[in-house]
Amino acid sequence: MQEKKYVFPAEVKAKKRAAVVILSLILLFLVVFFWGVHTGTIHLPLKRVLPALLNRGTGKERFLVFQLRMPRIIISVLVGAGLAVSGCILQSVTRNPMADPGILGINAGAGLVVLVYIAGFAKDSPSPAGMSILSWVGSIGAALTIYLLARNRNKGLSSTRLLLTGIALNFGIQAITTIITLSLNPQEYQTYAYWMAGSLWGVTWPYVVTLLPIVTVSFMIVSMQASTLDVLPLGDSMAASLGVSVRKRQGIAILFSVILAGSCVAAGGNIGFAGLLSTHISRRLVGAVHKRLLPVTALIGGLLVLIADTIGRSMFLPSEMPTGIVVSVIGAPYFLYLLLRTAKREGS
Amino acid sequence: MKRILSLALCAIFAVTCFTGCASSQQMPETEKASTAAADTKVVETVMGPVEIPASPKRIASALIGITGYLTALDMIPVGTATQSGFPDYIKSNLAGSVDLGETDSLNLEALMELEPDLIIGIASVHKEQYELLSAIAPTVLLESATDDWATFHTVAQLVGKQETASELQKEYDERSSKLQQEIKEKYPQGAKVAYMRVQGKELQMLNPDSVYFKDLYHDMSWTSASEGVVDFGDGWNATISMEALPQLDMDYLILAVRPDETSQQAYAELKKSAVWQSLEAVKEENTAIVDANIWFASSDPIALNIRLDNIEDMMLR
Amino acid sequence: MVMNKKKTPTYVKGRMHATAVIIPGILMLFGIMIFSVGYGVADIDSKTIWNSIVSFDKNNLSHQIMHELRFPRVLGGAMIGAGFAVCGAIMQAITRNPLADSGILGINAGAGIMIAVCFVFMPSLSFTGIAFMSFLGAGMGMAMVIGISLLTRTNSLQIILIGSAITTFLTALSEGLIIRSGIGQDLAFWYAGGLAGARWNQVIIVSICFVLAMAMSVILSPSITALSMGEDIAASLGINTKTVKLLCFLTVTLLAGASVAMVGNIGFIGIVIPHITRKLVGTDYRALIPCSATLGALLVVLADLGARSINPPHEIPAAAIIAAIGVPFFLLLARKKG
Repeated sequence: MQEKKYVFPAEVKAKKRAAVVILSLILLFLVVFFWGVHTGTIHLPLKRVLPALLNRGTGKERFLVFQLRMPRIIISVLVGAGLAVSGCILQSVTRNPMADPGILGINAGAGLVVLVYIAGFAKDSPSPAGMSILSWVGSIGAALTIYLLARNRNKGLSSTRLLLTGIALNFGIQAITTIITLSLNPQEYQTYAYWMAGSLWGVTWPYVVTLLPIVTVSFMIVSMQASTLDVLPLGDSMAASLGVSVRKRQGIAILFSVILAGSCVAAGGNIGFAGLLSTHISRRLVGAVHKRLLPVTALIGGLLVLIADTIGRSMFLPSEMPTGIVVSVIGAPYFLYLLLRTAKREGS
Repeated sequence: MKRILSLALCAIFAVTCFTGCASSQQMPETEKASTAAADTKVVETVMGPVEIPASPKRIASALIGITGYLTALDMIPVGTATQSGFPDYIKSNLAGSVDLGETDSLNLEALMELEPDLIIGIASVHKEQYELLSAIAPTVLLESATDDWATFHTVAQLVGKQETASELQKEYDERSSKLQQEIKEKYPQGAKVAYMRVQGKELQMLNPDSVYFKDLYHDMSWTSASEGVVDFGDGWNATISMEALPQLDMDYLILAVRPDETSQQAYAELKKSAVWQSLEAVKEENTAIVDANIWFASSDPIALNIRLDNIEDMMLR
Repeated sequence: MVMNKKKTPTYVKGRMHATAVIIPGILMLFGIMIFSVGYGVADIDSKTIWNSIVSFDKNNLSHQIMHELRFPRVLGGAMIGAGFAVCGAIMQAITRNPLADSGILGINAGAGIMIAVCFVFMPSLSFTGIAFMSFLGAGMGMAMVIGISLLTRTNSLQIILIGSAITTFLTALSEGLIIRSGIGQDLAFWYAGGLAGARWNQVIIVSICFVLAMAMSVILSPSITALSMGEDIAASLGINTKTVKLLCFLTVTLLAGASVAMVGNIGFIGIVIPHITRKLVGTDYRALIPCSATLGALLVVLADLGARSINPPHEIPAAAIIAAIGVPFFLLLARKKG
């Protein structure tokens, strides 16, 4: 016999709202996508965009769209979505809206390993592929260090300690990094500075083929954990009473958060604020239920980095401004504004 | 509902990817027809054999050092990568050349628009973008930007100017030997030369035994002024405190300063310092304040000749 | 605002009296400063040092080295060490958070980006100009962090996180500014926190700011003690918290701005020193501020001496040595707090 499941009215409203949000975001996405294909050093007139996309443009247009612009557009979206979801997971697990792989030193760890590579092992010819792999190693290494330093046999893992250790590590790594950069020659320094700033230059289809499966698989696994993320934060006494499997699932979520952050940083360098900003916006739009929050966060993150990358490669000709910097410049003031608005609402 | 949506998004991505991969990487025949008719030759590069025009007319350079070589050979590239703008010593030569941005963020769209018939890059930076570049124009990636004559001759070979290159080298070698001879006559035991550069707030001493400067010191019969005072370890440079300056036993001092305002400012501050002014070499004006870009970053004949000018001025006035 | 010590209010009494820390501290400081002036690539004995002050001979190379290079360096180092330490102490009182200092909260980063602006757009600006921009930047960084944290009911962890985010943002912004200009590495050299470039013109300006700021902080110290116990407690003691906070912000901006303008960003001093001082003299800021100043000066002068003696005539930035102590310290503190 099937019972009629009672659905709370608030839940129905939330679902409807989420649907509206997602549809609008997808629409916005298509608009920005078109704009991204249209914009760049070479002017592709708007009415040529659709034919070019449908493979009916001239050879030159096809080359421009499919070889020069498309890989970059896709990578920005993937990196943005990946970093956004990574931040979202960290924030949910630590129950703190300020957590982000950038602030916790995970990106800094990636940077340090890349720097040591450039400074010590690749004197004249650092290989971009090598840098990507090492950055991945650095992210995982930093996360592991934070975990090892923050845990305490008696008390388990507390979110406050995790965050504070992350910040401490971040500052420490930055200090070491600054000192090592002093010994680089100008060429090496430029290479490092570029990477650290978060540049998506020169991405080609092989990059896409590498990053896409990682991000997609991670997303799928994380969305399966969505209901767990709704539940309790680290270290809370209730979590223990709910059984080991909850903690194991949380551990998996954190693991994938680091994997996502590591892969995205490996592909695009250090792009900060994507996690913080996207999660804040999406929380305000659809609330805290993760099966809605995660996709919306991913969409917003992807949009954010796509917009930033398009601006970075078309408004600073003939050079380009690294995407990470553009994200920080547009992201941070907006983020501060959001904080202020939240503050005003909560009242002082 | 959400699952359907996420699946749809994945599907859109997948479709776009496949379209992208499937679409041709090559530029269509019509665009390339004009170059296809001309003579071509095959050159061996680190990425394998490449077919390039026998005498390229529209060369795009992806490294400012290569542009230096090309300028010396009087083959001004239609587009060149720059490092904070065009270098002073060849700025006027490059008046018509398009700025393509930095070497590691080359403006590929502008490059495409130029329709070059040859692109010269370096393997260490551009290896991953090789296919992309090759689709725009035949691309030759040089091993690395070594600063010896070998790379110069390689570039000359690519653009069909081997003879000019040989002549330039011969002229330079003759001039250099003459200068070395004159210096040796003036200083039979070898002059003690300190080679330094201004870097930010600091003063760096350069290691005469390092691979970068060994030949310079050897050719000019210079000896190190920092013997026993500065321990370079394995490095090619060492930051020294201004206090160490009076301890150096030097006849001549070469100070490399970059042309940007900050470095010039740092040099101006240095000049005002009493310790600096008390140095013998400074008092007797046995110093050469040289352009760091020319001495460090350039190895084409134009720059090399300017270096000889600097040395000549300093030592044989 | 006289607090009756006999009635034992709720501040913690330290193990030592302030003078037990300050007097030996200052004596040690002078001793090490003089030693530091004499020590270096060209060792100089104390008689020469005395002569160089009393009867300066322009043609004597040793005198010149000391006068031009070493005195400014050692004096400057002492002042910025005291400055950063006191900044940290004051910020910790206001935010009631033992992990707060001008580096973590983004104040140094604010000063840094304004200096980057100077380097890029006004390269020939005199040090006075640079220092002024540095103040503006420090004030801006401060305003951002404090503004947000005052409006939200943030707990102490939040302030650290917000400060960290602001530091990241400002650093990225300054990177963006200089990445095209080719002076990136120069700025890194400057920002790395070393005393090698200290000159008299800088020291004079920094000392003016320093004296002003220290005077302010000493005068404010009783009020700061009250503030550190809580806004309500302070208000009930009749202290105008808004004014006191404003004056504190001014003091910190002055100290941090001047220090960053001269040596760049030396982190961790503001965390390590007040923590040690608190263990020694307790939480009364009338003692805490002068003691932190003394110990901070000592730390930097020692670190600079160390930086110069590890591999002469090579110089590593003094910040490196301080970071080597500071990072584990901070990590341990973070562990305890959690």
